[in-house]
Amino acid sequence: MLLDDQIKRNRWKSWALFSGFFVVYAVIGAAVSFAIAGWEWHANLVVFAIFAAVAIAVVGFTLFMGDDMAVAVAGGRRVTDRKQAPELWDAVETMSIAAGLEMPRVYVSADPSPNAFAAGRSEAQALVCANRGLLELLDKEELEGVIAHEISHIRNLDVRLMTYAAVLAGSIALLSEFVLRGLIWSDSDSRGGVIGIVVVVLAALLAPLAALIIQMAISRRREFLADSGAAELTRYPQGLASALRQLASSQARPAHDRNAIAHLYIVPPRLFKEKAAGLFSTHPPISERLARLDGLAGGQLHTHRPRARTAAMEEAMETSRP
Amino acid sequence: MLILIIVLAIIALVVIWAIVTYNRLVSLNVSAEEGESEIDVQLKRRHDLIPNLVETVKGYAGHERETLQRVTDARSAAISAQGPRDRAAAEGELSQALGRLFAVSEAYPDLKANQNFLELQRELTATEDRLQAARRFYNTQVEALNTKIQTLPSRVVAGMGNFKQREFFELEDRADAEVPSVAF
Repeated sequence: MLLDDQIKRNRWKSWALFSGFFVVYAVIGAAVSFAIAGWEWHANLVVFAIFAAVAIAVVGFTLFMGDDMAVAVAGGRRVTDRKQAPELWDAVETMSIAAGLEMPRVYVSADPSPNAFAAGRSEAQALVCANRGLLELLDKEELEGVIAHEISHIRNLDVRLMTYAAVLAGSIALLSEFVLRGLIWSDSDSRGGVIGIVVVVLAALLAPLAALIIQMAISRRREFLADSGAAELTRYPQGLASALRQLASSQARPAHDRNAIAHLYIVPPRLFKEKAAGLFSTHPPISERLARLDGLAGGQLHTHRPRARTAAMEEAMETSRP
Repeated sequence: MLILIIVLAIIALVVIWAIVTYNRLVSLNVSAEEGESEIDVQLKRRHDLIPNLVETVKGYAGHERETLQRVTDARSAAISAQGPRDRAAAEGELSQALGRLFAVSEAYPDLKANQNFLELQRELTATEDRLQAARRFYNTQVEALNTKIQTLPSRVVAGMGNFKQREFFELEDRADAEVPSVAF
């Protein structure tokens, strides 16, 4: 089964991700220790131990706080009562029932760009965060489509992998920054010499690249799966399709550059898109996603009209009006 | 000796397969049960909202007695119905009656402006949405379960484990339903 395969692959990849992260950290640690202390065995060991401790701390942090971290980067505020965001709350509740999952935590970010993402450690420990712009732009069916896409990510265990990747990649970027800064004001001449400098520069350049690779190794096909999962949950691919079209063509800019969590969003945030244009894309092109949704909708993808599929009772009301 | 080992290996494989299949059936059954109880939650919610709605409408449109009575009757019928098929039919009936009630209420501007009425209407619509979602989940699980019970080779394990097929919870498609005529 396609979905079971995906879940298995996600579990496996989570492990691979952590291993890869340790390797990157070890390389940087080694480089830094040589740069600082040259070939001095004891000093190298100390520096290396510090790096190992940091790496373990980061992993622990990622495992237990990863989703909070991601939502903090997004500027999300927790919604604890339906009244604070009724449409979003209803959509999340309905779609998690359709998926047979516990209702995830709900967050709203004040960001004006229409976008949303899910994060979490497991099916039971997950959250959905929507930007204010999304809630203003979409109607009920479109919003349900987007939320169903996010709920599918939760069900497929995509969120775990994507959240971990976001935090680990972020920490590597941070580390490389430290190394570069350290290089600038360290008295490198008396320590590791030229070799040390070269190694540090190499490590510092490698780190952001590693982070980028982690990011893009992670998305793409899972977006297709989440789209088809959303169609399955809503039984209405037109809603998500209409939403995707609007999200892609929206001119609203994100309030902040949220590179670290760009791959979590349902469509790539605009600033990120322009910078990385095509080269390191985390998402398949919208046109391709729409084409696949069209297949699920039996070629009826462009039939969504606002409130075309209102609740059954309202429909009965319409037809019986004299 | 070699033959014995091969035979034992085959038996071991069959046993492992049977265990895996059995567990899969159990988990599908549990999922279906969870789906069913979620349906129950939403139906209960709906049944609880209706008396309040009827009272509110009565205050503004008391002489729509027939419509109100139909809602009350449909509600009692829905509460007492047993088994997925009968319950679904009774719930469909109730949706119809509610639809008619909301149609009738269109003629009463005061009622339509009533905050309580609007809140109840919204809540009923949301409950209907959640009910549909719960129904979809339940039916998906039942479909998977029934397929396993019906098809070989899992059918053998299902027979030994005494797994029963479940009924789908099908709410009537309202597009096919007769359009109710409303007399004012």
